[in-house]
Amino acid sequence: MVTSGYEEVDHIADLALHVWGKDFEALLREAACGVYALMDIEPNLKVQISAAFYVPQGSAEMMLVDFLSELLYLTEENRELFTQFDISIEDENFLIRASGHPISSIKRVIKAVTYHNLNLIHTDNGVEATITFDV
Amino acid sequence: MSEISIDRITQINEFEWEIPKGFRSDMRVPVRLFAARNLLEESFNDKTIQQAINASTLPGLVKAVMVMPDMHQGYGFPIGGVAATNLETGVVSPGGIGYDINCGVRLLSSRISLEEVIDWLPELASMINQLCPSGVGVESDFRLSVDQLADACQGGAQWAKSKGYATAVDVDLTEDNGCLQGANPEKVSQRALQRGRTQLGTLGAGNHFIEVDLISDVFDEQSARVMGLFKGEIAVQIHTGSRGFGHQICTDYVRTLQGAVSKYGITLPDRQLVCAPIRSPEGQDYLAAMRCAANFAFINRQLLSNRVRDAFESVLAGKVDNWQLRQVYDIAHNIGKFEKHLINGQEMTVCVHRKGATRAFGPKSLGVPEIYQEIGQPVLVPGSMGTCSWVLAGTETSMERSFGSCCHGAGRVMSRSQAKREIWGEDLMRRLEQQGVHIRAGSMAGLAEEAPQAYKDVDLVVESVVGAGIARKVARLTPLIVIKG
Repeated sequence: MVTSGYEEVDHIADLALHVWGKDFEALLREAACGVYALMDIEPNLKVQISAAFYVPQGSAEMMLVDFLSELLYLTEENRELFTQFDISIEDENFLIRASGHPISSIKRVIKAVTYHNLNLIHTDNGVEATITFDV
Repeated sequence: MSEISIDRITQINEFEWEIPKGFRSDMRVPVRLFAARNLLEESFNDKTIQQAINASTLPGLVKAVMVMPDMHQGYGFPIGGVAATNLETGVVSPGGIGYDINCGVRLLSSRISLEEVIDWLPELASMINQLCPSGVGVESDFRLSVDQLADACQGGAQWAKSKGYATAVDVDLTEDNGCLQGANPEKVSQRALQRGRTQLGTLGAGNHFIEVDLISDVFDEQSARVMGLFKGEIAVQIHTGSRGFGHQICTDYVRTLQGAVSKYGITLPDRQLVCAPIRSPEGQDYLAAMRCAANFAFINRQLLSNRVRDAFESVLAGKVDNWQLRQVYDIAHNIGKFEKHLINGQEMTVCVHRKGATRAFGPKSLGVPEIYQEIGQPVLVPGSMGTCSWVLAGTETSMERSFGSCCHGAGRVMSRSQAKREIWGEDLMRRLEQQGVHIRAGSMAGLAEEAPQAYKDVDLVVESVVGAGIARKVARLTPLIVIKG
């Protein structure tokens, strides 16, 4: 298995992603790519944008859900997609500085990131998780 | 967990099954499943049964967790799940209500015959599509300030009526008159309010739709007449919910309540079943916010109804004698409500969670509109586009057996990714158009995911609830126009 990546997992009514990375930060980046792929987003690559946001301290699962929930919010409300993430720790919270592009079109809705059977698993290659989304 | 199969479930009768409380050590109540054998067998292909058993571990459940025949795997609760908790000792669970709070269906009737409208269907489809904003992230031209939205989500349909957006009949013929009491916008985050400001009067995407239907069969003439449904005439269904406003409220409280679970010493088999005691500050705050989203959804369907009425007027006025649309009923199928039910022979107010399940109160029940007191509450069961939908009525038995609840649709059998692999949206659209169904869809991939093959046979689902005695057939609807985001 390559050190980082994602794959869609069959779910009867909603959507699910299996995501893995060499560490938690890599997992967050792959999860972001996976969410954007599930939503079939077309970015406007001619324009660059940037943003910064916090992910509050919590368990790894909570931080993963909070991170993706923030991306969903920025996708729907600001129509922004991010491809680069600079992750640092500030007062025990994650500070995410992100850059990317405005969105030209979104083909599929994701309503929310769920905690359904969400467990971060540590493996010999890093970390992995399966995330279920409400659509 | 022990391996579960249909052989290990107790059959009560042809359409009712029970998983006893002792099946798994953490179950607090049994699980009661309403389904014909073939539908129940299908549910073993995913995690539906396991999720129903998980739901039966919640504190303060007053009776069995009920599961309707359109059951399928969800997240946390199964879709089709109904669970009632004691107000003093029980919990409220956002996971048992879902992100799309008060997702529901509104049915409008007309006195327009198929013959009168058939030549105008393509134009009507385009006009409804033009007037009703749909799709991912699409905003409404109806915008409110945060303060106005706070007022709106406290008053629900009553607010809509006070502003001239709803008639008295619209309000009377809506579940709970379109307003859950106890909504408090101070318990809603600023982010949710900002998201909701521009989303009233929008359909959204996914499985949400507007359908113009032919009333193709009537099974109970008297009930159908009371509902204003006549064979050969036209009806309209609107299926949507509380949009980003509700999604944000659920997201906020699923996170907040993660802390409440440990604070109150609750053990859960799945974190998405997150909950808080109803009497706790956390539980009360969630209920107050959830009710805001429920009221928002009632207004959302009202505003969309007005747009559909405008489309009918624009296309049909002067061409047909009577183009008006009259409300039949508006119901929620993702909701948590305080309701009175008989528990072990005693009337008790309980918190009923319905996740992909519809209220189905019987005749002479409190909360059923006066004109439906003799026949029971209309129960709206949309099928998948290209197949039928059903109008049912609640029964006395549903009050005793299922907390006055029934199925909410057909229920999925095929995953979205499989549907996309196997079905081309363009082919599906062509086939449906050949069948006489006029489609307006924002996304061909989205259309493929919602293909009829991805759903159970809604007729079989209805046979199960009728066979179990929790609903009665009134009329069957066949689609003529389908609008999807």
